[in-house]
Amino acid sequence: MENERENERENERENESGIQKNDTIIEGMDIVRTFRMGEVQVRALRGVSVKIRRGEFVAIMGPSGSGKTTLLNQLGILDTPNSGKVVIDGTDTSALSEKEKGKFRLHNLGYVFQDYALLPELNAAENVYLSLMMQGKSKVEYESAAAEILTAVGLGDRLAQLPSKMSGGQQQRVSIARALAHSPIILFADEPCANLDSETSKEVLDLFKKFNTEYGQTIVMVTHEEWHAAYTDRVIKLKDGMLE
Amino acid sequence: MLEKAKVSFFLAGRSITRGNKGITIFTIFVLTLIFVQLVLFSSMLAGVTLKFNELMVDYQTGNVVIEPEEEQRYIEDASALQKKIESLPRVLGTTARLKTSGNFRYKEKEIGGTVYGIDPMDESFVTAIEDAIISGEFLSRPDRGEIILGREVSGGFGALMESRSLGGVEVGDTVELTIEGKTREFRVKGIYTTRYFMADASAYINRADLEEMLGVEGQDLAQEIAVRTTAGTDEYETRMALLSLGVRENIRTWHEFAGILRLIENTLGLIRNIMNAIGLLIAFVIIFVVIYVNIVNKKRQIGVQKAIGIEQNVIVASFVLQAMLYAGTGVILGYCFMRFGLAPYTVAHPVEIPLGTMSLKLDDAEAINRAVLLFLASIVGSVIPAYKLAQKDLLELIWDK
Ligand SMILES: Nc1ncnc2c1ncn2[C@@H]1O[C@H](COP(=O)(O)OP(=O)(O)O)[C@@H](O)[C@H]1O
Ligand SMILES: [Mg+2]
Repeated sequence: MENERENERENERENESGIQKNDTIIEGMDIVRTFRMGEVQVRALRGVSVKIRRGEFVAIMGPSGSGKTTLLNQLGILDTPNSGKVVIDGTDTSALSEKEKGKFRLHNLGYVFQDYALLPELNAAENVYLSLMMQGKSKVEYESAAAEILTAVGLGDRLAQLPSKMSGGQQQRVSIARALAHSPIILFADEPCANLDSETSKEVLDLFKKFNTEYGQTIVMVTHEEWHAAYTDRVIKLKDGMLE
Repeated sequence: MLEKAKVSFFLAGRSITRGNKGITIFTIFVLTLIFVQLVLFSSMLAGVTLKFNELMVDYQTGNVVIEPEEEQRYIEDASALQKKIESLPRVLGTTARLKTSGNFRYKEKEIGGTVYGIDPMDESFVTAIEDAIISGEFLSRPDRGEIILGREVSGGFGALMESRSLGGVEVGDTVELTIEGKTREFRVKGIYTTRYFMADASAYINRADLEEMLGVEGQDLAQEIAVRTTAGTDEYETRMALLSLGVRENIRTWHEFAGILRLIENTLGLIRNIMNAIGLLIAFVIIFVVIYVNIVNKKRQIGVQKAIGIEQNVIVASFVLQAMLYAGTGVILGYCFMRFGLAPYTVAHPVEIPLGTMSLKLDDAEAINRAVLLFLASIVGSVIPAYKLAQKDLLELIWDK
């Protein structure tokens, strides 16, 4: 009796916070992506289907050139597949126009790139709150949100610092803060540690893990380091553009 | 909508304050030069026009000229009319003139020119010919058989058309003057220059001498009466006052004599328009190139902005705003340079041009017109490259080197 009630409450709480480990948040269906390089056709993805559940921390692994980045770009709707489709949180993204995709990315998705891709003319806080500003949040809202998230990644004392004055690890943490500032449904990261030493890599991965476990943040991360897999819930293995 | 504008302004502002200062300064400098170039020719033209007008008023027309009635060759009872006009409170003086064209001869040389018959005292109250004497002296009332020559007639003293002059007549020499078939000798009493070619191609003799040559002695006739009013008197008011005095003769303000000038102005205006068009085209190309280079360097950033979800229009607008700010600053600097630098400098140190001396006169309406055009050029010059680039696929923008 007592236990059942406890369980029910647990479920309710999960529903409220939107954490339901078992529902699918993103589904890629039979994705084909072919690039044309002059005469040659490169078949980067040859029919890949993946399902990622809400709250999962998934790694995409595979040898270089196996199509990891290409897959991540399809799932993150930064690119459009030749065939197949990507459904994110119930939205069939193949039906969206370019402009709608931009809006969808702005509100629902976050990205961490291998080389940080920070805007050099904006300081840490500005890089982080740009998307919030674009969403139409007030100055007070976006400034406090940026301060909060930068504090969470350990850069609370560097809000006004420019990227050029930061180490690689710090820049990557700003970029993580930027990707998370608007509480995206999914965080995509393409080899976020490729340019970092193993010590800093650990810090970054710990950060991912923290957001995944504490806030239930869904994360899809491309990596080719075997030891990174230990941080994740599941590994999707790619080889020659197909699931292994 | 508002948040979009806000983000555009934000990106533009940061780009200017934190971007490459060298590029910013260079761009603004170039735009300043272009603006100056766009207004310079107009200012020169306005300066020349102003000088011409001053000259005409100072040496020839005074403020208002009274001419014979329709179909009449002369104004009758000229001195009575003069007295009447001089009774007006704002009139400083009047001068009744006879005016005709004549032929001058000195040694082998012979040229044509305008000859005025004047009362030297009266003339001095209206025009500044007396002050323009560079050699010898001005006429005085009892002088008979004496003549004052313009520099272009005498030749020498830096005359422009030396070959079409009498080739170096000096004070004390005797020249022959032929009017309507009558020839008489005159002793050169003085030589004047207004430094303006057209005004220097005339000669002055006593009215009595010209009356005699025209065969109208003692009849108190004049071909024109020039009237000088106190500074700042509106010519239109003077005309009204003259009309209410009962003057039936033809009254013309100096503005009406600016006809030839207007012709010159129109011709130069055409050249000015062509130069403006070229200037704007250059402005457009330079803005285009500068913005294009600037934007191409930011390809990757544009890609990242698109990836984050910043709208394409917002990105384009941020570059256009930057260009507009550059253009605005360039215009302001250029305007200040002209208004407070170059124009006052040329007023203090007039530039010698073949027509005489010239100062620049900056016309605000023209300046605003050029500013708007430059602004438009900067908008078009930035929209095109920004739009072209922002439209590209975002992955291409991020990864293309
Ligand atoms: N834009 C592109 N144009 C042409 N070929 C591409 C492009 N992007 C990726 N490829 C090719 O697709 C294949 C998969 O690339 P990618 O997804 O980047 O691999 P990974 O990230 O696993 O190293 C590679 O052979 C790569 O050369
Ligand atoms: Mg890759």
